Amino acid sequence: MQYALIVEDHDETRNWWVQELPRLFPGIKADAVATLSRAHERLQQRNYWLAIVDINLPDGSGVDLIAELTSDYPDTVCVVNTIFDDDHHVFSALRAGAQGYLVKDQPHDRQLCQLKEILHGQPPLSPGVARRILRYLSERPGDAPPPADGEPADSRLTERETEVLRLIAKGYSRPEVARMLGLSLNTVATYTKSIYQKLNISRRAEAVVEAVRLGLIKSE
Amino acid sequence: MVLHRGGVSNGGFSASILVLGCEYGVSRWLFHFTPLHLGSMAIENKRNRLAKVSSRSPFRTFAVALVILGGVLSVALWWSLHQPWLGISTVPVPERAGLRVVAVWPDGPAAGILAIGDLVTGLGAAEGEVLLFDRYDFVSDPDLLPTFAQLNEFLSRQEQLAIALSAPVTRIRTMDGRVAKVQALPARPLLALPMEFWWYQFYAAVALLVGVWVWTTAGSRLPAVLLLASGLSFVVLSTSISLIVTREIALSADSFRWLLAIYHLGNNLFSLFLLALLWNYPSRLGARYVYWLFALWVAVAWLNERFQWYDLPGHNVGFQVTLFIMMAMIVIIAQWRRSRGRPADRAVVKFLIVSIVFLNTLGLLLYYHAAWASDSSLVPLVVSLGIVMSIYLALVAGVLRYRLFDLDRWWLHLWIWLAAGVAILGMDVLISVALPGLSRYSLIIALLFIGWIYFPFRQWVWEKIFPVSAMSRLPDQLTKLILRIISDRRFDADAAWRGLLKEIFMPLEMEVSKKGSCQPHLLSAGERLYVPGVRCDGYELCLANHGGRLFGPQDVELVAAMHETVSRLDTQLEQYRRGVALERERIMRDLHDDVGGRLLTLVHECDGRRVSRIAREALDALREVIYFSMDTDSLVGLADVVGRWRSQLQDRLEQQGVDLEWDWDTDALAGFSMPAMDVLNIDRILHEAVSNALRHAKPRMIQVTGRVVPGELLVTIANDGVQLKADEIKSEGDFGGKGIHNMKRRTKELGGSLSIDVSEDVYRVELRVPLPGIQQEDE
Repeated sequence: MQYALIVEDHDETRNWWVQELPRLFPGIKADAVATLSRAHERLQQRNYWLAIVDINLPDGSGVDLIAELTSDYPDTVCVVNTIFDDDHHVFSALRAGAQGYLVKDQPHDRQLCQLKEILHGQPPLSPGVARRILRYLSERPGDAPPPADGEPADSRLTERETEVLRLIAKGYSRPEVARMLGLSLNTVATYTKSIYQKLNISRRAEAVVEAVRLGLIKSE
Repeated sequence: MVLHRGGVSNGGFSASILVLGCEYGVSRWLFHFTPLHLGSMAIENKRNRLAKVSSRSPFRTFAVALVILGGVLSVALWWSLHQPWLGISTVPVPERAGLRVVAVWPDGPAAGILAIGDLVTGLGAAEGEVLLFDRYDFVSDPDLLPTFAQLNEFLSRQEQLAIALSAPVTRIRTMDGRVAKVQALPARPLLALPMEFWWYQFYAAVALLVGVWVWTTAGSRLPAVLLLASGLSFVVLSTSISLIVTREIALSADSFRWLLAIYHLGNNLFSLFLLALLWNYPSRLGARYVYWLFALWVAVAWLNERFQWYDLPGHNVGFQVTLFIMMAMIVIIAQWRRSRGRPADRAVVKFLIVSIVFLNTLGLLLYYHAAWASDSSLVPLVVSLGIVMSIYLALVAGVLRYRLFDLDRWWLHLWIWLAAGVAILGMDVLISVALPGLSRYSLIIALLFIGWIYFPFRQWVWEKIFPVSAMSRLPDQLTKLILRIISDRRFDADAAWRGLLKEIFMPLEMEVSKKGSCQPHLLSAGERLYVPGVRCDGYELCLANHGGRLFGPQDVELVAAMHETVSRLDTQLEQYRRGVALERERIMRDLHDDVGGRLLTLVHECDGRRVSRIAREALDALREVIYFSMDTDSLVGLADVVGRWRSQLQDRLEQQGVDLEWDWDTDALAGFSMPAMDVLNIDRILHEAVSNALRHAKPRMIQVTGRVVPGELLVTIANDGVQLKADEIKSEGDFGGKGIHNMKRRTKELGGSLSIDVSEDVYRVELRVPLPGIQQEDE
């Protein structure tokens, strides 16, 4: 049996997830909590396949929980569910390792659809977030050191990825981008996924740089 | 006589010192003497030299110096004690040409023969040969005599008196006509030596030990060697003159000639070495032949004294002294000019002016000035030589960096005092020479002249020179800064603090310091000033007035006061801002949790599509408000929000089946940013305009363009499918104009203008927003 963890303080939303998740993914059991401390208790008890985390929680920020999950439970898929769709919050969640985000006031069926897309590796990307990623990844070329664990981890964007990001940042929707670049919708989705990964790699590389700076890891 | 043999010749003496000095190739002179000396020595060089310095034992050098001093003292003492002794102490009474007996040694040869109060008027070796004193016999230092003729006359009389003193029985004639017979002893007891004698030995010791001290720590760099050489010369001159002025009434002409020769040698070498020091320090002035010329002059002057070739104009020694002072002035002026733009050198020059030039001039003037007019001096030699000797004490103070940079203030005062003194003495001499009849009143006339003319003039000059200073710019700048701190919400206290420091001190350069100290202080003896930051690390300012001035204690006081003011203000303002931010955050949180949660419930739970849509729009609006209110103070890049606007609009219009034609000049916008509140206002105007279009028309297409025109952002929102007539739209204000009213209000907040225009079936809203002139800084 697989488990999903829902960390959400808005009662209706939480209940809705508990109700919908098993329907969407048969065989899934949803554990729902409203606070970070409860979430920690649950994490002691079992491993989760999926975690849906609200950003604004009564006892802290969901971004911290996501950062913890990505480093301690790398197999858990983390998704942010937020009423804040501003790029500042979303971007920090993505950088912390969230693999996608859902905006709460979207119609329910659309949210479910988006969750599926995220799990299939086609995460959403808003203009603000795209701009931030663009700035973040392209303004730090080459400062990513070779990763410690030997992963092939080039966080630099390819030309095509940059183009896709640029258009999304200008406010074009994914179908529009696909049309403008002469790509299929699927290809654009794949690009967004690889962009997410690079963001994550870059974050980890940055963590290594930070660790070296703090003297936690010896640099050669 | 060791001294006699030691002072072989001018050249030999200085050469041996130079050899002594060069024996060790070590130097830290500049670093010890003036740690602020800029760039004259590479750091690497310094390290190498430091390593060598440590191998030299200062104790040995000091021991050698003490042995030399002890030797010189012993010889002087031995010689002085082996002079004939009458056993009386006297003071000269020149106007009665006699010596008043002020003490009679109880066990001495004159005990019971002479009494206190007797006035001795002459000495003789035999009954009929008593030589009566004249007033010149009491001149303690024959250098005060202006011509060789007078000197020779003096020496021949001294010779006769000396013979009388060393005769088996000395005849002493007193005022009352009595001739007493005294058998002078061949030696003086130690206690009979006047106190003055010891003073001269003390001066010699100070001069030599300071010279040795600087030399051991600074090594054989030329200035240190020259200082040591001057110290040795001082020992020679001080010891020899001590024997002359503490003589028992008279010395033989031969002894006198030798002592004078040694004394003059010491004097001349002393002035030569000091001049050479000034010539070479802080920087070398041109070719060395100039001071070799002076060396030649000194040698010739010495030989002239010795062999009496030619009387120098006016006064033999006075002429030389004046020449020396003038030379020193010229050299120091040249150093002053050379040090322009090099404040570290300039400080050294100021220091040398105060120490060497000022003290020398003062000592020599006080002693010799009156010699031009008469054979007496204004102060005793022991005082004047003491003043000259204090050059070495001043150097010690300088070496120990004893408030070296207070000099900035008081060296000028010193010069003003000196100028006043010189003016008085100069007037005095002038009046006595030019108007001999008035010479009794010359000093009073000089004082009056100085009081009425010099001091007012000085005051006037002072005010001309000193009205502008760093201080005078302070009130204006500080007021400006405080106003900025209070009024500007995005104020960066440290940037402003840096600006203020730059305005006030105009430093050559300014860099961030990691020191973390919260007290301002001087570094590198005033070359740098450490100033704490307001919130960040501190700063180091290098050389004030674009490199023209060193920092002094008054700058530290000033900057401390400024820093106190600024950081206190900043702290209070920061507390206030934090309070505001906390409050805002609390409100936002409440909005989010309560209102947001309820709206969210409405969005999802409500069956009616319309209510759901309105709830979603309300949530959108709320989100925007929260988003932009989180940091209303921050600037938002326009390029960052344009994509967001397009994406939202696209979503919205897609649902309504309306085409969006979006044409924004994103590249031109890239450089601009606006306060978040302004961006929010534009966002709401856009939203409202589109809502109006959807509400009042049946558009097939909405066109939104954004352009940067000079100084403005021009946004147009145009839609087709207008069904109302233009006048109907205008009159719509009565019931449906809430949207337009809102747009106008927001436009007013933006400081922009809004125009609405309908032609054919196209409805067109044009918004102009002033763009700030500043380009957004790259993050």
